[in-house]
Amino acid sequence: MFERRLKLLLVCIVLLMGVVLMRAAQVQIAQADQWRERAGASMTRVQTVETYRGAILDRHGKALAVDTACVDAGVDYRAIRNPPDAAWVQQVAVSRLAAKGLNREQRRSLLAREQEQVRADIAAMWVRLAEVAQRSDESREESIDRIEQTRVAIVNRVEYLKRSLQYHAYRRARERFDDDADRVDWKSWLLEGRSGPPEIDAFAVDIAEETSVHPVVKDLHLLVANQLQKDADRMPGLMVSPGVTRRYPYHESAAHVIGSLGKAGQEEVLDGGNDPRRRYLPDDLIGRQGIERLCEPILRGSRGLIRSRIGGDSGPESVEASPGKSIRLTIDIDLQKSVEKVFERVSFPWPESTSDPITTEMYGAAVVLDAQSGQVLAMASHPGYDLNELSTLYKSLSLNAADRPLLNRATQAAMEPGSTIKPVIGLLGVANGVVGLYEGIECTGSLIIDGKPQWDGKCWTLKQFMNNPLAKGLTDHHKLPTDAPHKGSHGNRDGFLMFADSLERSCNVFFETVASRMSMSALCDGLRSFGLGSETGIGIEEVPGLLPDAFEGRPALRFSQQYLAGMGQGYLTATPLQMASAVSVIANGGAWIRPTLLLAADDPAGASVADAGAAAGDVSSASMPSPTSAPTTLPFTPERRELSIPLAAINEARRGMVNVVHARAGTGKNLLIDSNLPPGLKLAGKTGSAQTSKLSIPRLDPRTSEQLRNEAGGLAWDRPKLITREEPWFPGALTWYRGSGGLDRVAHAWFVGFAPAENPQVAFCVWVEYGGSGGQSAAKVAQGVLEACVDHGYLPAR
Amino acid sequence: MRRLWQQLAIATNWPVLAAAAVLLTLGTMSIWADTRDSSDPVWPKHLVFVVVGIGAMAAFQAVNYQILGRWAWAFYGLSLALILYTVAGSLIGGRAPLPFVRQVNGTYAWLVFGGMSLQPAELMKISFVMLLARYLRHRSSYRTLGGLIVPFVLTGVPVLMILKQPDLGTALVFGPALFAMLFVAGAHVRHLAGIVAAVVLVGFPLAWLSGPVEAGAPGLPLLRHLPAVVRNYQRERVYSLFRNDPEDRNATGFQQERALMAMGSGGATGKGLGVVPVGRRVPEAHNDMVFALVGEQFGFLGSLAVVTAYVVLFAAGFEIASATREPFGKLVAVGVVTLLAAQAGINLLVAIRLMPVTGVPLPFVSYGGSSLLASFLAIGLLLNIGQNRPFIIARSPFDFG
Repeated sequence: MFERRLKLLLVCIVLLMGVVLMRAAQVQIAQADQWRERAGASMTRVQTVETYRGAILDRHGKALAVDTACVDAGVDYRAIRNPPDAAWVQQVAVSRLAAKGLNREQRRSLLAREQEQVRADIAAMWVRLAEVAQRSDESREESIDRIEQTRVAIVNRVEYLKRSLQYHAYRRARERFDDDADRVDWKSWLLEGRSGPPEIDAFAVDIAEETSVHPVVKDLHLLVANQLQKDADRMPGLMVSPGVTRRYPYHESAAHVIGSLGKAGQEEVLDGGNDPRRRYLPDDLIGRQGIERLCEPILRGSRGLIRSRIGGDSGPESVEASPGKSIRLTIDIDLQKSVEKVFERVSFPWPESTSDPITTEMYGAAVVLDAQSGQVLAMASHPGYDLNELSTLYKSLSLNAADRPLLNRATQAAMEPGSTIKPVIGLLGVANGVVGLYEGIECTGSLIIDGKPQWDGKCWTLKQFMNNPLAKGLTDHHKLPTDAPHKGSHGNRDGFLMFADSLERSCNVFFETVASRMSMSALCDGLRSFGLGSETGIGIEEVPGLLPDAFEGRPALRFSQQYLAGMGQGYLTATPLQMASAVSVIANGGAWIRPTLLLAADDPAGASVADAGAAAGDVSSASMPSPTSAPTTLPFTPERRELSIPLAAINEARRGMVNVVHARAGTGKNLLIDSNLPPGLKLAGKTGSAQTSKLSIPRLDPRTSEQLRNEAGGLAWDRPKLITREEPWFPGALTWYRGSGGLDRVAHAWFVGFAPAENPQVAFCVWVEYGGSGGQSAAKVAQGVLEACVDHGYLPAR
Repeated sequence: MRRLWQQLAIATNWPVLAAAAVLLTLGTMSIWADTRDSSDPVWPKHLVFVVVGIGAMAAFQAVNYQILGRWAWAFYGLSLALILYTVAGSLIGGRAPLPFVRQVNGTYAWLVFGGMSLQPAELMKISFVMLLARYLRHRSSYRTLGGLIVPFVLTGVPVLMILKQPDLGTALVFGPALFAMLFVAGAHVRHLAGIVAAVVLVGFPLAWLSGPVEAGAPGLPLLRHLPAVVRNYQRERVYSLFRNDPEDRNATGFQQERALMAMGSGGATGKGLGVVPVGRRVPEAHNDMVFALVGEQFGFLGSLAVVTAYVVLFAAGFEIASATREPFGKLVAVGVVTLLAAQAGINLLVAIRLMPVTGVPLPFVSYGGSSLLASFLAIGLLLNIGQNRPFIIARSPFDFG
């Protein structure tokens, strides 16, 4: 009897079913929440809604950079993928055949051929888009290449988005159900899709971007858009749709200050944090330069999210997109435009000549500061470029090593300031007690150290007459011009030059002597206190410049660097912004104020950042990322440093600087010639003619933008020929590269100053690249700058 | 008329029919839920299969099973011939090597006639049980080790052919049926245990290890010259059960992962009839993973219903076997119930990730004509045996004291 065996078998089967039931209970009751979570994550579709970037406004609210509607040519993601999505191609083919009114049998027989046709049309569409996008400076092949790159970039972006959402869901689940949250290798997985943490694939999400239209060619011309629209039947997936592009209504004006946007790279993508609304996706635009970079966190908007569950009973949850906030600059764009215009027509005589003035475009920079607050009213760097065309022109601009239009000469060019440093040196000398306020120093034409004249410390006046045999042994040259000889005054009986006199006549020997009497550290610390030798901290790209204590040559030469600094030569360089900032110390009575481009929130000049973006998204729930609070504080630290300089010394500096412009012996008196400045306006200024080296232009490889090498293996340089009075023009001449007359020397021209002298409202610095004499070209530019300030109400017009 | 119903009510085994009805209902609802919005809503087709299956069941119930038993060799021969025909197709290869033979999902398990398709291996299951029962009914030779050779050959030939198609899942259910029938027929436990031990300790490792390195085997000396028994994808499925590698999850573990998500998200009471948002994204949900669809719609209660229905079905089947003293009927009942139990067991263990993916349909629940037909034939036989209990005045069969 084997009935027992039957029962045994039955028991086995029932046990098996028991196991199944227990496991079902485990999955559906004990772990139900966990599986539900996983299932939920895998069932979620997330769509992102892009938003606007905040505008950059000038101090009066005029838009300098603003997101504007445009027409884009977009393509369905399924046609962007290469090869195109097969199911979608079939779908297009079917609907095309259906549109032809074919019956089912005919459609079936033609389907394969029609799919081939759709594929061919997609390929042709990409060529057409490349033609549409082709720039004037690139070949057809380059354009096709570029479109191909765009295509790849979109695919990367979507893949990344998908992976990051998946990861986000995965991590939330892990945090909830697991103790160890993060894995070391997830970053490589996130970026490249390589194998990563376990179980993450269970959280794969579908995203709407996989089936939506992505812009491929931005900002189409309307005619082109119409043509594309007309041919849309032959271009599967093409959609001409409204988009957003950043526009710069003032084109070249303040281009260097406003800065530019670029595409986010790997670093930003990884460092973007966990907030899915603000995180950078590959190909997102990010501020790369200037204010766009500085104020990125404020300007950048938070994208919106729409999260829907497939087959879920609840409707989609969404977080509204919140646009970026606007930023107000201290720049007055109209003043800025006028200041930039000055450089286009500079009228000045050839160096060392008073006759035959020339009118030409010169390169350089001008900075106008509010003398009391440090606000930058204008910051011009010439030549500039049209920000609207930057992406098109970038390559040719960056290859232009001679003109360097991308360089912000106001903050990124540190040059020897020449004589414009002299007021600072004098003040430091008085403050350090190495020279009395009214102490005269004899100028014999050369700096005398330990009784020996120094060959490199000659006074500029002597240099002018050096080759004149009659002028040998000239000792009292500062009596020039002869009708305004210097006499002793202020208790100074010897007739030697005092601080103010030396400023007026720009005596090298006086300031060299003062600098040589100080210790190196006292000199450099003093220069530092005026904001030299380090970045001002204005927030946009700038260079720190050099101070003489950075010199590491022979000790004997180190000392010469010290006294050369007294006349702003040698191991001392500064940017025009630094010089404007230094001169405003004299203008405001002795405080260094960090210059700023950003209008503070409580500035009465206009409502500002804080109120613009309080309205973030309102909809939130446990599973949705909470509305983001974008930073509202300005990325700028104000600083005001009271320098310990006697007011009397500052007043003497002011007196000297007023005389530079208004006295008959003043080196800057050309400023007033042929000017439209109000006659009652008293100006203070200082000229500078800083000897410099000849222009050497790196020869760049047009493809890589790297410097080429010459036959000997060294770096290849071009040394262009100077324009001189004798040869004012020749083929390939750089019109702004001028020699100093018959002498084969070159110099940058400077002019710093403030106005009105008795109650300073603006401080300024003008730098003219290869402008020769500061008293000529720079004075002319300064004249234009000051006239612009009067025109726009920053100086009194009477 | 009333008498007929009364007779039917007495003769028919209602628990079996009730269990089958519960399973069919759950299955049809799941198939409907899974495919109602799809481009190929197969649930009407499934209903046709059900009707055809009920017809076949009635046919198998109508004729006395002992008459059917006389045709066992013929059924077996016909099934084997059909299988051999598909195997010939698999040896030729290609999409459509022979008339009616098509490659479906990499196997040649189906014969395709127009819109319908037939899986000869499913027929073979029934034929095999009938033939084996017929072979064993009056013998006692299988009580010696040598006497076990013929039953094993009768099983081994179709199993090897089915493996050649290849269709591992279907082949797997033959073993339990064979052992259960021998066990109930009275084969010595030590013989059966010895064979099981030999298979587990020698056969499995040998199969796993043999074959060239290209086939994924470790490539041991001697063994690498043997033909590969285990295929690469099968190895992967086993590995994926033990590894927590995302690559695996994507490739092979994905189906099970998704199935568990669907089941688990159903919770205790389910999401309701026809609501299978997760289950719809499980590959082959209405075939191999139909348990997940039931679990998602009806939660643990649904799972409980399925398991209970099977237990009722199998217990009723064993009750019939136990009550039948006629040896052929008794063995057929045991074989048929074990077949269904093995098939259900494998499918359920796969669905709850206690076994690697094999692709066996869940009897009465999964979509699939051949499987459904075989299941209906199986319970047709079972009911047949239950209602035709010959009164035999003899010692009970297989009573060897």
